[in-house]
Amino acid sequence: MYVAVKKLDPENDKDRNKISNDWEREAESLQKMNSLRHPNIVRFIGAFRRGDKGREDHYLMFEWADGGNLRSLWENSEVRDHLTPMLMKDAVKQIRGLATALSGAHDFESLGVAFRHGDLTPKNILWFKPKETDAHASIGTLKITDLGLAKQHTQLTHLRMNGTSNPGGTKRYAPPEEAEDVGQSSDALETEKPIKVRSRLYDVWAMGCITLEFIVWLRYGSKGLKAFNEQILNEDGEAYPAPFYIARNKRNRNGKKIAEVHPTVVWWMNHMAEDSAFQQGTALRDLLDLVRDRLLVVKLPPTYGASFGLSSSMKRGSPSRSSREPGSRETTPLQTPHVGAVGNINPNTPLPKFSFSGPKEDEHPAQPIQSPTCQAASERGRAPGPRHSESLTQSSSQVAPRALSEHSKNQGRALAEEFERQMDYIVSDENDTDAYWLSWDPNQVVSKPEYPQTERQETGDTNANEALPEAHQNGAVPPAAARGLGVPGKVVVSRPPHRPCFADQNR
Amino acid sequence: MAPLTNRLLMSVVESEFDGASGEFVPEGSINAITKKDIEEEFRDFENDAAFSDVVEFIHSKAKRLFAIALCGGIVEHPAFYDTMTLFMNEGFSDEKLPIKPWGSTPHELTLICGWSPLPKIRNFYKEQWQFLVPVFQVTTENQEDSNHDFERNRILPLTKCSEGFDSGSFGKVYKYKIHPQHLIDPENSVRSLFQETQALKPGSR
Repeated sequence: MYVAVKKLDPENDKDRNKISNDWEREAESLQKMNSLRHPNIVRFIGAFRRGDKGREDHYLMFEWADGGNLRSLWENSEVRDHLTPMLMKDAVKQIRGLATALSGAHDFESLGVAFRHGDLTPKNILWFKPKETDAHASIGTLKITDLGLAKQHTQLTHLRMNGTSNPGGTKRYAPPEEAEDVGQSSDALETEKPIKVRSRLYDVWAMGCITLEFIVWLRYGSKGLKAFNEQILNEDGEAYPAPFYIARNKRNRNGKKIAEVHPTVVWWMNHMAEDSAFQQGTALRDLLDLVRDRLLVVKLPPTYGASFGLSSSMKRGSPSRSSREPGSRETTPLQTPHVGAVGNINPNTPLPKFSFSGPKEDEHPAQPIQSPTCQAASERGRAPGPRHSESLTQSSSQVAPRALSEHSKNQGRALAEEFERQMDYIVSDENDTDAYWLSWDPNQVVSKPEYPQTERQETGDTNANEALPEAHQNGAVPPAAARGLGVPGKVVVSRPPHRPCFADQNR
Repeated sequence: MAPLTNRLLMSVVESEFDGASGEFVPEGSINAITKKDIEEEFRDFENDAAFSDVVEFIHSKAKRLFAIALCGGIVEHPAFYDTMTLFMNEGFSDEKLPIKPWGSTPHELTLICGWSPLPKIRNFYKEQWQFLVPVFQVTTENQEDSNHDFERNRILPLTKCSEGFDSGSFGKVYKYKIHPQHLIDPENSVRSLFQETQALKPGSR
C-alpha cells in the first residue's frame, strides 16, 4: 500500500522557521478537513518531522492517488473512448462531488472555520482509478488535495482588508479579481475595495475553468481539450498560463482595466451551445449553462463569497435549471436567492453581528418550498437548499423558470453552496435517463470546433475589436469570440456567424 | 539461535526514507511475542519466585525492551533474566524508549542495571531503532496528538517508490510504500487501504 509524503523544503534558515509554523498550521487544518469525511477530499494521514531540534525536516502524509491527477484522466483515452451513459453520469457525479467538497470546506458552520483552497487546478484534483471490476461504470474518484494548504477563514473575507498572505495560486485558473489593476466592471467604485483579498470565490472561478475543461474533454476528447487550451492566449499571445479572462485596455471609474471572460472561452461556450450534444435536456447543456452563467462570471456577488453571518433566507437558493423540451422532465420551478438584494456591507462591522436582510416579507409573502427537487435531494441525504433547522422561505410571486434566469445570472458568481445545489439537481433522479447523460453516439468520432480564421474580414466589426489585446486583434482569436463579450460573465447565445463543424468524421 | 530470535530477525524488512536506509522489525512481529515465547526463553528460571511476574511484565509492558536485548545480544543468559527483573523492579518499560545516547552524566541504564557505556549502552542505543518504528494512524478531529516528532535516527516504515515531483510552492511529493502493519485506519477512510483490505478478505473479489 502506498502513501504520498510531502516534504516541506526550506530554501534557507529563515524559511525553516516559517515552514515549522506552516507545518503545524497545515496539519491542524488538514485534520479539520478530515473531519468532513468527504469522499472527494484527499485523506490526510498525519504529520511528522524528523531530525535534531531546530533542524527538523517537515512532512505531511496523504493517501496515494494511483491514477495521478485530473489531467492524467483527461489524457487517458480508455475512459473517454468508451463513454456510456453510465460513465457520463459517473463523471458528472464526480464533478458534483468536487462541488460538495468545496462547499463543505467553505462552510463556516459545519467546521467552525471556513477553508478556501486558493490554488485549485486539474493537477491538485487527484484521480483514484476505479477497481477493474467497476471500470465499466465508474471513472474512479476525483479528490481535491492541498485543501490544508488553504488558509482558514475565521472571519469574513471582505473584513480582511490587508489582503491574503497565502502564496500565489496558479495563474491559469485565477479569477480576474486576483490581478493587479483589474476591475470587475465599468462602474465598480465600492465593490472593488477588497479586490486583493483571495476569497472563496477564487475557488468557484477555478472550478468553473476546470468544469469547462471537463465538458470539452467529455465531448471532444483529449485532442479537443488540447486545442481548447492552446487557443486561450494571454496578452502576449502565449497559451500558458493564460487565464480564462482578459483585461481590456478600457478602464473603469476606478481607473482599473475591465475584466471579461476570455473571448476564446466565450467562443467555445457559444459554439458548444450549438452542438447537438449540448441540446436542451442534456447533462452537458446543464453543465455548460452552469459554468457560463454562474461559475465563470467576472461579477462578484455583493458579499464577496463570505457566507458566514448570512441570514438563512439569503444563503438558500434553489436550483434554477435550463429550460427543457416541452413535456420533458418538468419539475416545480424554483427560485434563486436574492443575493442581489443585499446591500453594501460596512467592512468595519464586528463579527459575528453583521447580517444581511433579504426581501421584505410584505413585498414577497414567504412560504415553505415544496419542491420535488428538494425532496429528492433530501432523500438522498443532502438537501440542496436548507442546511439549518428553520424553515426555508421564498416568494411564490418570484418563482423562476427552470432556465437560469436573468435574475440569477445577474447575481454574479455563485458561491460553492450554489454550485453544489446546481450539481445536486443535475445528478438528481429525475434526470436519470440515458438520453440525458449521453445524447450522441460515442462510437462516432467528433471533431473539435473549427475556428473561423477569416471571419474578421467578413464582419467588418472593427469597434468590437478595438479594445482587445493585440494578440486578439491579429487573428489569433476569432473576432466572433470578441463579439460575444457584451456583458462581463455573460455569454451571448445568439447564433455565431460561423457554425462550428461538429460533423462526425473518421479518426 | 533461539526460535524467537530467529523469528524476529527473519521478519526484518527494509526501510528507505529521505536518504536514510535501514531495517526494522515490523509491529506485527513484536506484537506476536507470546508469554510462551518468553517462558521458553527463560525456562531455566521458571522456579524463581518472580518468574510469572517477570513474564507478565515483559508481555504487557516490555516486549520491545526484551526483543532489543535478545536480538541485539546485549546481555547473555543468565544475566538477561536478571536484567529484565531489574527493569520490572525499577518500572523501566517500553514507555521509556528510546533511551538517550550516553553522555557526561550517568546513564539511566547504568543506574538501573550497572551497564557501562561501552559496549552495552552503545549497542542498545543503536539496536533499539529497529524495534521502535512508528505506527501511523489516520488522523481524526478528536485525535489530540496527531503530529509526531521523530529523532534523527528513527526508522520509518516507508520505502521510497518514486522521485519527488513538485507540488506547487510547498515542496515535493514522493510516493512511498508503507508497511501495512504500520498504518491504522479506523474509519476505512483511506481508499487504497480499504480496497486492499477488502481484497484480502476471504470470498471478496
